[in-house]
Amino acid sequence: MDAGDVIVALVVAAALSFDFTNGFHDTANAMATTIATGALPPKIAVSIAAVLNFVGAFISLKVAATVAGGIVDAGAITPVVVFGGLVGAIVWNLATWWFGLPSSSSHALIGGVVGSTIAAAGSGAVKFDGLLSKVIIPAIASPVVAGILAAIGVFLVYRMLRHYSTERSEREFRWGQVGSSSLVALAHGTNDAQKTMGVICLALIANHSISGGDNFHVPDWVVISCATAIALGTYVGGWRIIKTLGTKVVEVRPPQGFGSETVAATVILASSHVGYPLSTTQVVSGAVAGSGVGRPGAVVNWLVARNIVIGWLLTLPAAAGVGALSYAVIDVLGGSAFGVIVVSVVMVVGAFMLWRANRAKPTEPDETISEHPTFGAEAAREAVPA
Amino acid sequence: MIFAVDVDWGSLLEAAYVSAIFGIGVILVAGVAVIASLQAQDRQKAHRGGAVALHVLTGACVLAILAAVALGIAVMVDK
Repeated sequence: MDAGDVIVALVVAAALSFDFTNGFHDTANAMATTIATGALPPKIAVSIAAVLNFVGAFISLKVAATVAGGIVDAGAITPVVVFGGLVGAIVWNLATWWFGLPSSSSHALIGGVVGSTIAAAGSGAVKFDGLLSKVIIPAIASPVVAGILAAIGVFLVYRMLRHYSTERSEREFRWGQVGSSSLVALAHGTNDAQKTMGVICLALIANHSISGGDNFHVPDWVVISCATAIALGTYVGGWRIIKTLGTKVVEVRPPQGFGSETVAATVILASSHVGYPLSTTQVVSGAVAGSGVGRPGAVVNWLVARNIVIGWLLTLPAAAGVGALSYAVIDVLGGSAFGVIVVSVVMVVGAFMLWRANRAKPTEPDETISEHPTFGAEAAREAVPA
Repeated sequence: MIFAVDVDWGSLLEAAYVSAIFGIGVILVAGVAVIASLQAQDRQKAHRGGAVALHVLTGACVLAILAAVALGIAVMVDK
């Protein structure tokens, strides 16, 4: 095993770690509203999401071989650049998880790779036109569109149901909520696991471990390991972000949960169909806030929404900064396997310390359920007269 | 400056209106299903006719939603 093989092995390990953080960071996208209303118990919800993310990873293998294709110069991509980008994405995912902010894992990955590329080859290697047209404009438009559509949809459905008691009509949306959340989980597995597969393939092609071009084929072990990593991450459940999205932005009722997840799924799939891969996180967050605007009497906590938007604005530059720093450190240490090992050790130690800190102040699954759930044991207790 | 960049505004607009049609459409169909289901329950309790037709309408709405889900999965597979 030469130095190149060691670097590629560490890139694969970092990519799978990113995939894991992607899973637990984004569990909220699919299941926060379902858990908040009590439509499914927290552990059951994350288990379903994990299975669907795993299945989703196998649905389509038309991998975008360059995750940052059209955004950075392909000639500037080396395994060390990819590694630096992954470090930037992992660090930003962990930081936003700690603060309970639903930020985009995809944008973190793109930001990390852009930063690492700038450190390696200068800003000339970044295609800023591509960054603006493929990432920034869809990132601004998608949550706004999702929010408006969810507000209209939820407003109309409450208007249709105005002659029925709220408690009675809302209960009818339980299985719709489970179905729409499941579709988002499946779409997430298809989109996000493939990004990691693309990153690993990129490193393998650069190391001549597999061939690119017409003979390009994603190795089975890459597919299975990526599917497993994202599913495990999803099962672990990023409870801090689930709590924010399900209970802090707005009190979610079943028609809202159904409406926001349905709109999110259609926006993601329609955009994907016309060639604009979006951030699932941003679309779902926009839809959840919009559903709060659409429900009569609901109050959106705009302070929390503002903090989430600030997180989105910081994602690209922050991940880029960490990505550039990682590359610079490796470069100072000789740009070899030694530098990659040093950065890996620092990252593992940092992740361990964060895990210890989380154990001291954890967010429990029960905290992710709304104060007034529609379904489940808590709702049954509330229904019993004192 | 944004308009100087080569952005495919047509595709973005297409994504927006397709999302609007399917997203709001599915929510409204679900609303009809819920109303039909509630009406059917009320009519059954009151021993009034028409409950079967309302159950059929609920079923049709559920089938329409399942068809939309199947279309969504087809889009994922076809990506």
